[in-house]
Amino acid sequence: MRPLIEQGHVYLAQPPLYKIKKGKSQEKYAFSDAERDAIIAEMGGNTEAERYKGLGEMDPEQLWETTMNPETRTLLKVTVGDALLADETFSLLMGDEVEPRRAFIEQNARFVENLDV
Amino acid sequence: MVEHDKNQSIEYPDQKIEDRNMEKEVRKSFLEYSMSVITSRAIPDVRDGMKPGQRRILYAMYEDHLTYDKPFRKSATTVGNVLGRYHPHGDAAVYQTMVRMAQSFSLRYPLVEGHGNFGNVDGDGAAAYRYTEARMSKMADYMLSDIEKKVVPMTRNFDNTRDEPTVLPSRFPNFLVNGSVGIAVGMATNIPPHNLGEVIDGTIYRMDHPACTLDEVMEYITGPDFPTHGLIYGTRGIREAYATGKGRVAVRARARIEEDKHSIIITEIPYMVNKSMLVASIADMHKNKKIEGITALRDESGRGGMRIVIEYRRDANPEVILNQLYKYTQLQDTCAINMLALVRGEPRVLPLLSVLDEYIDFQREVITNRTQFELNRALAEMHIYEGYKIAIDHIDEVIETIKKSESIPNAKEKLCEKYGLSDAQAQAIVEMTLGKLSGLERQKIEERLAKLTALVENLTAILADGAKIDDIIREELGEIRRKFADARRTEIIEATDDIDIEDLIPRTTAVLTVTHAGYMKRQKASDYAAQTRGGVGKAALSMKNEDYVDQVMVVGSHDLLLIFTNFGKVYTTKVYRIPEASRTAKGTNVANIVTMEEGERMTAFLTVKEFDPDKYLTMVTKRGIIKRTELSAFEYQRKKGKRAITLDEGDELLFVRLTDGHSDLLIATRNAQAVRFEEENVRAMGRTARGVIGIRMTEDDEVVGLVPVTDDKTLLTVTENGLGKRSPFEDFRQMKNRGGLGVACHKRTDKTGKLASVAAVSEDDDILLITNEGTMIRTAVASIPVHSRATGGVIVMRLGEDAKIVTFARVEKEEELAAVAEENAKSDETDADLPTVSADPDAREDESADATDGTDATDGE
Repeated sequence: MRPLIEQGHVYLAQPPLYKIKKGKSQEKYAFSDAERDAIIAEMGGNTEAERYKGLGEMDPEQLWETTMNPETRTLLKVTVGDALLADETFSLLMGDEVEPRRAFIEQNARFVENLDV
Repeated sequence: MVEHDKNQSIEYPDQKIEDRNMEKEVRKSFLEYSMSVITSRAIPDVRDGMKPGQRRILYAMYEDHLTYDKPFRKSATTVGNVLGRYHPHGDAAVYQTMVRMAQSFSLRYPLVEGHGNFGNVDGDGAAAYRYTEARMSKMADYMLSDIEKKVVPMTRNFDNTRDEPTVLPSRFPNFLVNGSVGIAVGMATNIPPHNLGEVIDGTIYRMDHPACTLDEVMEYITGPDFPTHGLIYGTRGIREAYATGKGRVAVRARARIEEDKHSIIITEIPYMVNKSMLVASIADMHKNKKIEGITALRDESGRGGMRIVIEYRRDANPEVILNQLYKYTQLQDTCAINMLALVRGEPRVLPLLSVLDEYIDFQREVITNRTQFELNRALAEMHIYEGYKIAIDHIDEVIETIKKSESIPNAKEKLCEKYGLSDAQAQAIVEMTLGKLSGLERQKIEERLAKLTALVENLTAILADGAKIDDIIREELGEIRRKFADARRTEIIEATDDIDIEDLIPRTTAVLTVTHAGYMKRQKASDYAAQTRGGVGKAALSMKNEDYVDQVMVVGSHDLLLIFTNFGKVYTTKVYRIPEASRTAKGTNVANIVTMEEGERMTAFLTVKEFDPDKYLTMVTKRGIIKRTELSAFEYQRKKGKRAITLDEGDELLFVRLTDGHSDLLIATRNAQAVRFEEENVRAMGRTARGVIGIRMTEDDEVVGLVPVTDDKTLLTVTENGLGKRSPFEDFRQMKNRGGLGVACHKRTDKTGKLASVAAVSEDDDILLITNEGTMIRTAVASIPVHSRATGGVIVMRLGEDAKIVTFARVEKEEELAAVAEENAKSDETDADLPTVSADPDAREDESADATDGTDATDGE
């Protein structure tokens, strides 16, 4: 895994979180709560929001459009800035010690952007 | 597969590729994940004690009118509705959550009423959700009361189609009453259930006395109350948990011993303990011999209730077995309270008073919102009735106007214009049928208006006065208390740190006999006195070869026996835990009384009544290290033993004495060197300290005795070749500094051999000399001459070719002991300090030297 990441071969696909519909013709995808709210405000009136909990809620066609189509998709290329820092992060978040993890969560709780409720 | 030219790369100009630093991405994703779990899965809200899943289940059932007075409905309906409307997660998880809410052994006051198999304490799961049926319980109604009156904030559901409550009105303090268990990421919560009546009383008290202390509230809320009954052992953990939000509470099964049937009966087990696994673990303890003496184990639980029967061997001590079961199995469990809850969306560990304050504030909010809602509704109705009043004044014209209008909007417009009605008033009028409109009665309208005015006044007054709101909360909590409060189920027992059923055992005086090989037995003082008086030459103890009585003591049944081992550890047990045995029985090996390690053996022991702060334990090791520690440092015991001294490699703890801080002590070694010094020269150290050098000695030497210096006694020294003498203590000068080489306490020659043992003796004592071949000879001390310290002594025992004396022991006077025992047996129940026998030997005992006695030396070698 590590060489793959180091040489920049690992990408994250970005499926949307919401689809916002207005009437029959208007349809937009949002990738965050903020974006969803912006789209709803922009469309105005009666909008419908569909939340994607997983890929299972999408038709194959939708997945192609939003996530897989190389013409339009957004890919996130995984890069490693500081290997040591990355390693530390992994042991912090997935290691055996609970206390530092708890501290990390407490200190950063307010920076959370998307919550799965 | 299509073969690609490796050099040709496919380019998509519109594709966006963003670099994402892995470390940042992982942090961000992890944070989102963990905060999601914390705020919307595993941790309950402090206000209603609900996790989102539970809240959604209750709300969905409420919306479906699945209340306690309606028929049951398939659990699948509720699961499906919860998933579809509010909770886009696993069906199994939702069902599990609902099942738990219905289990009378999980929730103190179940919020769901189940029909069918909802699982049991043996850990069997509920039947699948297509079989079982459920509805809200009666109490659950009070979780949701007035929710339609907009008492709690609502939020949009996941697909923006419905509103769901962010918190339930929770008209009773569900957070404490039903408790919660949850594991999130990096944090977990464990709130034990409580008694409804107690929590309500505590809440009301806190409302009345906002500045009250925890102890005041704990007059009402005495501790957790588990649906599974059981006992809470010790209140310290409870108080700590309430004071800080975190604390450990020992929860025990309810067990009783039926001595006539040789069985232990268990009728209640600790909260959240799986009964079948508990029974299996008891069986394992027997199989791998961790607990001995169990002969049968049956789970006889049935419709009549819980009943686990453990039968034990006739000669086994059921108290010991039970205590071992408490120690090794979940028959005693620890409830690690951790009152972590969401407070305004953030996870916080809360002390009890904060929990109550949050709840009280929330209830004030609920009542304020409800009153406001009712006020708004009354005002709106008043407004309409005022419209009616105007209409009735002009009823004919009004009807005429409506008739003449081409449409309803048109009619409304005209009415508003003509009579100054508002849109709402006009709407109400045009909605009436002609019949109703012409039948309007002024009196009725005015009556209704008067009522509404009074109501509005009342509601406005409530909103303006916090005290009135509090009255409503008090009253409504009181109503719930009357309806649902029940008796406490879990008994709370005060305890010291150790786990003892002390109070169930009568306080008596006992005679404790300990042999050199580590066998112990306990006899009733009265029995002992009766048997011994006038008894001559009866063997007090049937002994293995080479074993002999080391010490006989008159002690209280609740005294503590401190057992020290060569490993430098100390084990503590209550005297009553030592199995009672007859005069002739050899007793129980110490290894069966406390759990020792491989190769560990008892080297010293003593009994104490209490942990007198002015007393010390003075310890000496084989290699001459001495350490003095306050006795009180040993107060808190551990089942697995505690460290009494940290030993150097190869060293052993051999001698321990209880001292008063001013004792004069003498240490003697195998090579017959001795030092005498004051206890004060050894500064008191912590329990686990190593100690300091007490006597410096050569490689081949070792300590053979630690003797307290008393002026009316002499120092008896006996060598391995059977030579002995007594020397006055004055011969030994007190050393200014400890740690010296000391002076000779016996002149050592090839004839004498090395020193076997030493002791402080009185003129009329008897001693028992023991050889490596197991022979014992009893001799009167008076027959051994008093010489100066550096002399070789006289022959006190003639030995065969290879025989050596290993040690000698002072013999207890049985008659004296018997007298003391008798006296104490008479005056039992007093807590007076019982003397250990040794002084004032007036009556000498004529008795054949049949190894019937004990000695008073704390040495183990």
